[in-house]
Amino acid sequence: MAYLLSATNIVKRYDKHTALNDVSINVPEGSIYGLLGPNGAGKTSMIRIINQITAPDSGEVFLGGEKLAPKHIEQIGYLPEERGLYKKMKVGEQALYLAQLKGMKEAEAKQKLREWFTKFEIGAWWDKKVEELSKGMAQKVQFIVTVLHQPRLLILDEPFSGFDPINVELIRNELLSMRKRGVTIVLSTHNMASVEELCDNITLINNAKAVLEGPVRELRHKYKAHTWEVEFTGNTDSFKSALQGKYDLVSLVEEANSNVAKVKIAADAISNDLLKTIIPACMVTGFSEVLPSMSEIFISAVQSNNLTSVAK
Amino acid sequence: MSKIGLIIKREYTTRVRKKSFIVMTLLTPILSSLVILIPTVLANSENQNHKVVVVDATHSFCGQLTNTSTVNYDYGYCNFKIDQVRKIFIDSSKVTVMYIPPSEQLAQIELYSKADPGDIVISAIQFQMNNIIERAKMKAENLDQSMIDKVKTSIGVKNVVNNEVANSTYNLALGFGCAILIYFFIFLYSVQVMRGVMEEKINRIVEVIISSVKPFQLMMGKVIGVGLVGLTQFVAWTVLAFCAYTFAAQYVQKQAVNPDNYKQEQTMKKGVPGQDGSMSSTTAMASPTARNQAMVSAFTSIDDNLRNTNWTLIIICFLFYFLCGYLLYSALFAAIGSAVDQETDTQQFMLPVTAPLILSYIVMINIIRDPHSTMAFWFSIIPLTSPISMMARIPFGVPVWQVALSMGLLIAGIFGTIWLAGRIYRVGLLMYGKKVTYKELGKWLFYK
Repeated sequence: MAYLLSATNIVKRYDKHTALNDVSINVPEGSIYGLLGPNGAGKTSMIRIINQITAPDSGEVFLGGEKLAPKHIEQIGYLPEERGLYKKMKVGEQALYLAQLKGMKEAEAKQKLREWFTKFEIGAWWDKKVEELSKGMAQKVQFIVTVLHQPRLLILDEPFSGFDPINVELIRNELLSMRKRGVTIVLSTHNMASVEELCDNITLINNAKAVLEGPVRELRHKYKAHTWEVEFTGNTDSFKSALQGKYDLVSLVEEANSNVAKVKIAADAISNDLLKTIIPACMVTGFSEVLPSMSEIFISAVQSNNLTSVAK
Repeated sequence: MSKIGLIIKREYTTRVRKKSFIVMTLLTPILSSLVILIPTVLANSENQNHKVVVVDATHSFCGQLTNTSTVNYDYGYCNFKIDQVRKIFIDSSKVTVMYIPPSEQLAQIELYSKADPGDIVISAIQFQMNNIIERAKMKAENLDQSMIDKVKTSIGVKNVVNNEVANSTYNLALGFGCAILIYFFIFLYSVQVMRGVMEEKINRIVEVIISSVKPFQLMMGKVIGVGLVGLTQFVAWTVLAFCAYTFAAQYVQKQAVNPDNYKQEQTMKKGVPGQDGSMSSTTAMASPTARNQAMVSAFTSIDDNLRNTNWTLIIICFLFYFLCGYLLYSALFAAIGSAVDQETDTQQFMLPVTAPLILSYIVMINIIRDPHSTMAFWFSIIPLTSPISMMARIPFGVPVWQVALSMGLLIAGIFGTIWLAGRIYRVGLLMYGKKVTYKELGKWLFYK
């Protein structure tokens, strides 16, 4: 697979504290890559190294196969977690300035900005000062400025914070359509639902180390508990007795017209056998495997990592 | 446009377009000339004569003291008893009763008032009394007025430096003025750089920007942009000052040559109208009114000095020390701005940075009094103090090698402080929520 971005064996130390300890990430071109981890794990350090804001103590970063160099700045769009704008400057003027700093020509930047402003329905703000905008409005402007120069690599740190659900949807759709166009996106967020929904691959950093990595789909299968959810109608007692001795009933919720049970099977068991067992006892209306949420994977990976590092 | 050019442009235009900048540029010359003019005008127009009622127990001073612009003597109670007179004026706040007690060797007089008449009135009385008594004593010793006048002396000094007549007072004023200007510019605009850096850091826009440009470019863009604002303001003030000067010069000349003025004056003197209309203007210039004459001669003396000054040298040196002094300090101020999260935290770092600046301001008084002393030499060589100290010395004439040494060291100093500031700046910008110590700043210098 072609990696647009590879960071290999990155080490970054501050004084006595190690922010990144031999972390590598490989981001396939045209994918959305989740960079996850608890606060202070080292995500921002990694992002800053990719943006050439700081340099690693050791390790190398490659973009499109080339060693990262100042000329790559124009191919990257970066939306930091802590982001702001000049309060006293007018919105349009400011967006133009930031776009030009990314190497765009003034006329081109102006035209593109007009397009984006219309698309995001903020055309009327062009001559407003930033201090007159709400937080959500300012976030929109920042997002536009990040993507305006059509970067190959987009690095977004908590892109959804400060947005209402409508605008979250707007940004989400924008990211998906950019992926379709081949843009590579690195997403750092604590919003695990959006990771499940958007990310193709993730790396989970904890205590300066990469503790978990891989495609989201595979990770969820890897960490599954072999639990199946069964929706059925009929007598719950006969359902229970059918399982007796063969399978573990994890939970059973009885409702007026339908019951939902969670059943754990052995790792090498076949789901069809479970179905064969229960079909005589009830009317199955739904059957699906329960996959762990990214949130659960995140928590368990971080906790087990913390335990082992304490044990050391 | 290069990125640093873009940054300079933004720093410059956002500041120059501000209303406060335009107002300051226009208002400062007006305000500062008012500060100079108002006391002068007030002092001249002091017509609030203070009334002094003289009570003379010696009976020899009645009518002797003459009225001045500040004091009006009233001899109506001269021979009254002091207690009586004091009672009369006990409630008058604008009247002072002056009592000359009976004495052979008068050593002290007494003043009684409701409100303190103030130093000016007291000095005026003292001065006149001394004069009267001195004259009386001299007369008693058989010295007459013509002899006294003969003895009185006033020595003038013609100070020739390098075959040119120099005016030390004028040099002193010029040196002082240039040095003060540099001091204020460095302070004003360096603090603006610091504020700008803090604004970017506190706004959190800085991370967006330094993902596009190097922190060093951002810092230098800001330093240069703000410096150009300072230069613009200075040029605007120079132009305004030049206009004001030209205007004043024309006004003075008109006062001096205006034949109408002269005619009026003559008419009033002789009481015969229209007789001297044919007088040539040269003669008219030779005899204007006393007040005009004083004004013209003062103006001519300033004008002569201005013409005799080596302006090329002064301007080149001024611009050099102005810009280089600013560069030296503003980089350090930028570093301070980057290291702190809030304005109040700047204090601890401001002190060591501003100390040499304030020190050179304080010793400037000594430098302009003795521009070739050892202290003046060292202060004008060391980069942190040289912008102010050397500028104060320049009008008095400084050996070329000293100026060259001072300039060379200053340029080296600029590279030094900019390097230092750049190292601190790039780390400080992204440090939040930590109170920074000097030890930490030291470590930042060696971060990768």
